[in-house]
Amino acid sequence: MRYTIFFSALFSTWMTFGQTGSGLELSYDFVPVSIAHYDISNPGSFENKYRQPYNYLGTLKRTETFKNSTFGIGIRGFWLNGNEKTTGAQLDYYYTIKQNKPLRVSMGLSTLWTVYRFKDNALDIRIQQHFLQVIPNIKLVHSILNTAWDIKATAGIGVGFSSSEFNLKLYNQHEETNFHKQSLMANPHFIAGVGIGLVRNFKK
Amino acid sequence: MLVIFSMALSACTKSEISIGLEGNYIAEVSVIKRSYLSNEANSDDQVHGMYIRGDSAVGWGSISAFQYTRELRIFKLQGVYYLKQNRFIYDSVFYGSSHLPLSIDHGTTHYSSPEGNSFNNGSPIFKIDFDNKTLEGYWVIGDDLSQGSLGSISNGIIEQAHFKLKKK
Repeated sequence: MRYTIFFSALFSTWMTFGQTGSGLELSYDFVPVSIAHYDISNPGSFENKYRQPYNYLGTLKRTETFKNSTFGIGIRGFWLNGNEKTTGAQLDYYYTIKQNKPLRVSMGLSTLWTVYRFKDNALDIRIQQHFLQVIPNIKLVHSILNTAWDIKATAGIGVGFSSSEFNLKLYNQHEETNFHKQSLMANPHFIAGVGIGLVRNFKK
Repeated sequence: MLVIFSMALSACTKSEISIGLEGNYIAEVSVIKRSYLSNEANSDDQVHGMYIRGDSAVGWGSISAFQYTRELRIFKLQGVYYLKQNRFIYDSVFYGSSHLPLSIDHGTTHYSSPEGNSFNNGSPIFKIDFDNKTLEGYWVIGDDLSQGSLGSISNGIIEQAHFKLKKK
């Protein structure tokens, strides 16, 4: 129920004073981050892989525009795959630096946050990972003539952080054994990302 | 529409959506051969490249020993399917981890323990193959696979069986 209230509030906000527009974006952002990938058949072994967070489907985002500034807040959608559950959010700010209809060029910053969990008491395995990605981006938006729809593309280079913890209850043991632990700030790394999306505009 | 979307999203977070092979299964097993190991000179058959004596079959004459069921669980973690089984045939099988990484190609699922089909001083072996659509296949389970001395039969037991998986 709390999710219903939160997302209903998020997507049904009224435009406020000074606002020049709002929109709803559906996008796919390819932003690989350094992820600890575990081989649980050999507890203790792992490798850090650059890859898209597991089971990512796309991002749905609400945008609010005030003159040249656009703020965006969205949810990152993930396939809930059996014991794997991932949630995520995204926060954007863009400033329009050039507008020549139907093309608009903006620069800004995207912050992506993702949590991956694997848990099942019957399996005795517990993994939790957090990913934080901060990416200065350039965004191109192309209006589809005579419609309220835009196509957008983004590209950027930034920094990523990831934490990870892997616990396993060994055979004939009651307590969990920790095989790997990495704190969020211990693993900063360069990331690059690109994204494409479709935008539905709601003019004021 | 947005409220409906939000409610659908909310519902998704409370349920588990599984696709593919994930799930709990009962394996209905029919043993083809199960025997103590032998050496080449005294053998009259082979399982998985290992010599056996057919007349040393364990559980010979007992139907229940050759038709049995076993619980299995298949799950996916970070893009890899695993088979979970604590005890396959004897306690000592699968020292260490009981999470076996499965490989899937051409509609079939496989796992083979790294020991292969050699006599290996007591290390257990396990090999499984099954069809992803029919969920039928074969496994080979071996435990304590040290070769017996000349003319004798060792303690190692190997089983070759057909099985059909049924989702619980």
